[in-house]
Amino acid sequence: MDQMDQKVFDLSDIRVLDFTWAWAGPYGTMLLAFMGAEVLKVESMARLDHSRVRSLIAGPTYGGVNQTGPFNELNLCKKSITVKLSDPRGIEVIKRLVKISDLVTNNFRPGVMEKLGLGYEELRKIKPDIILVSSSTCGSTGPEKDYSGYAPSFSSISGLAHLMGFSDGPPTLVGGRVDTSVGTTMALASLAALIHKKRTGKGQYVDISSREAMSCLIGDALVAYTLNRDVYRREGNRDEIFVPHNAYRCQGYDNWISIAVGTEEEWQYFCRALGHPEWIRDERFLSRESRKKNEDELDRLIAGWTSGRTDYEAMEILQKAGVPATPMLDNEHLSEDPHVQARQMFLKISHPELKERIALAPPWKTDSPGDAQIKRHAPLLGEHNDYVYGKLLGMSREEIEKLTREQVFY
Amino acid sequence: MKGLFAKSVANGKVVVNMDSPLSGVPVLEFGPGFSGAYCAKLLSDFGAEVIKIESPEGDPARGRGPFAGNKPHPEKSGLFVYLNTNKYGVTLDCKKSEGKKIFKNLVQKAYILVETFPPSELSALGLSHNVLREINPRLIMVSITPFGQTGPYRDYRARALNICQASGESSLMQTGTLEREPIKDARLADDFDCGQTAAVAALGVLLSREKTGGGAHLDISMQEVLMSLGRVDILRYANEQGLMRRDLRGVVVGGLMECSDGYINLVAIQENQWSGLLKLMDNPEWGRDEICQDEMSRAWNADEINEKVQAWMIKHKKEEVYHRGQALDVPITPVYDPEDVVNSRQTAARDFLVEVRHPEIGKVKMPQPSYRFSETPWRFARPAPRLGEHNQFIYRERLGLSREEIDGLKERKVI
Repeated sequence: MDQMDQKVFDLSDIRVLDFTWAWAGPYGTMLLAFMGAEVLKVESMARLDHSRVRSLIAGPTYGGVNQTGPFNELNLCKKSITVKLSDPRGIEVIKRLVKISDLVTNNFRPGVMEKLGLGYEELRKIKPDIILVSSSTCGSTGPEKDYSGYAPSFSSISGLAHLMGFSDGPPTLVGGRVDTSVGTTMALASLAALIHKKRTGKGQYVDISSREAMSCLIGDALVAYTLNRDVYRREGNRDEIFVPHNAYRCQGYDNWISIAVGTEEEWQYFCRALGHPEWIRDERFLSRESRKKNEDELDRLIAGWTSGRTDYEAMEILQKAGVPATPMLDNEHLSEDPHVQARQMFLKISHPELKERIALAPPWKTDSPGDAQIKRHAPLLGEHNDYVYGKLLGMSREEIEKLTREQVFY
Repeated sequence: MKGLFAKSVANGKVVVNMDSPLSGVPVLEFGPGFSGAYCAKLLSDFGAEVIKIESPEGDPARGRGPFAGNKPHPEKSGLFVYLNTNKYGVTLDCKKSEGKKIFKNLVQKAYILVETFPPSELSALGLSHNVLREINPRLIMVSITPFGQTGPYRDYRARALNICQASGESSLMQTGTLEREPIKDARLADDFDCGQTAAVAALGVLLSREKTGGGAHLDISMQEVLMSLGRVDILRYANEQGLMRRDLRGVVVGGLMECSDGYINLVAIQENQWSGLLKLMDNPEWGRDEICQDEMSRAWNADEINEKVQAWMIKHKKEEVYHRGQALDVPITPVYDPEDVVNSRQTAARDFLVEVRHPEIGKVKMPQPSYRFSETPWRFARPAPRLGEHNQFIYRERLGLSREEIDGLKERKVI
């Protein structure tokens, strides 16, 4: 078989009953959908995913529940069913779906699934090897389990925000990128649980704490405290080992080049590339330690060089010399970068209401070109009711119409 | 190992007992940087048998703190312990032909190889995917590099700072001004996040094995991982020309606010969150103003409202505001520093910190993974390896070399 045709990911025999909403959970289940898993997103007009209504930032208003940016970005390749969870008939249908699913995911507050009659113990009675993955701000145990938050909240309570920003400035909260990181954690845990089930026939309950997920990304800072009672601080772009290590202004409007020198070798390449080989023997910069000590001065000297060049010019000179350097690319210029273009990260996909949307390819490439493609737009609300209720559950046309009329499939 | 998904069945009942999802799955970790180490750490935390291959000079992470007793020492790095607890450690010089041979023998027995070499360097070593897949067609090779295996920047050098800046992330980091430089994510967070996405891809291929036959070269570009994580903002520009920038904060009610002893983050957009906030502030007069009456008008007047809320916040302590606010259903969270996180009662209640042993450091507490598995909890398998600690064990047990052969390799500086 031709190597190019061979699929690398094929999770088409995995069905996910997906109760996640907002940003974090959906990004995670979208990664599974990218790999071919059948992700059934459980929705309802009675309680819309807020990403179908707005982004949390007071931003643009959209033309309808199928047209919002965030929803379309975070739910590609999934299927959508509408069902009212507050109606016992809706829960009955859900339970029938559990029976034919491998994985149930949610990012509700702890206790919500139990209240719906869909806690792990209940699910196990329906399907003994079911996997339930739950993600919440603080996890489902502990004195703060009922506390709620959003991405900036996870970044603040995890210790991440404290470690970001200028040393003479306030902490820096982070939004979306925290959600998607937590979503990635959810996907990772789900895959591990699925592998375990495939090997042993056993399902399990996986409980994820979003704040812990972010704390793991600064695990070294936590160890600095447990080991030495050291409390790390934010230092802008600086690093305790690498020097020079910063972003420097270039020619042009808001153009910057980032430079990260990590070895003695790179330092020598760097000095020569800037036309300052004498820095190699300069007392101020002789060793890594002395460079750290004189870092302010060094940064000023470097800025003197970068200010005479554009960001791309500087990158070319430095990369040719073997020095890690990249421009600051903002969202406007990202799609214009020659490397980003060559890697075809920006894809056009068709959308029934929006004609065409630009989407971002999955965060991996393989030898199979299909893996870098997006196969389908995010689902319209309830788009797959007929398929899921009719084909998968074998409900009759009349039954589906009745439950739709009575706003159970709503 | 008999077939990853081969189940032992007796009397129609499954009898395989796996302590962990990846028990017995052999993984190799090879190459510089932190993202490969973190990816392999995630796999070892799931019980995989991870062999970390270091050059005879050792992983540069050994030179990065925090150090026990604050004294730099290659066997006393807390970062190294965090990244490499539960792994085996060997040394190997793959520039030497004997080293290449040993590497290939290790690859033959591995399910997953995590590597972080610049593509041209790996080719020059004669260990590219084309070569390795001849040896082991079912190998899942996970290559994590700054810009991927193809494209004009494929051989460009970059560290986390550079990737963060080149992925759009730094342009969004809210510093409130264009006057100063764009800043990076916290410490090694971006390296770790790239390792996490790489682990997702690796497990996806592993799970697909029965259908696809296994075998893959996963091309993980760190720039693309961070772009994917930042996709909503990136696509907001691409689709709607909505520009987000480090000095353009979307103004909403709430955000970062100062307390008497630190900072909190407040979210108070929805009706119930807003009324909870008013209760927290003991229902101030101004809460009845017209601009406060509905979500829309609050959004329009957010600056003014935030000023008033901030004036209240500064008089209160962050823990008090946190707990009282949450009790009133307001999503308020304090900005914790690492000390706060370690000392948090929630951290204690969930045993987030686990104590691991290390022969040189003694005992140290570090985070366990953020996911708690009911059937297969995280386990401590072995301390982070000292340099070359498992040379004898791995090369003898896995490759069948004799003690004398291994000693010879050491003499010739192959290991």
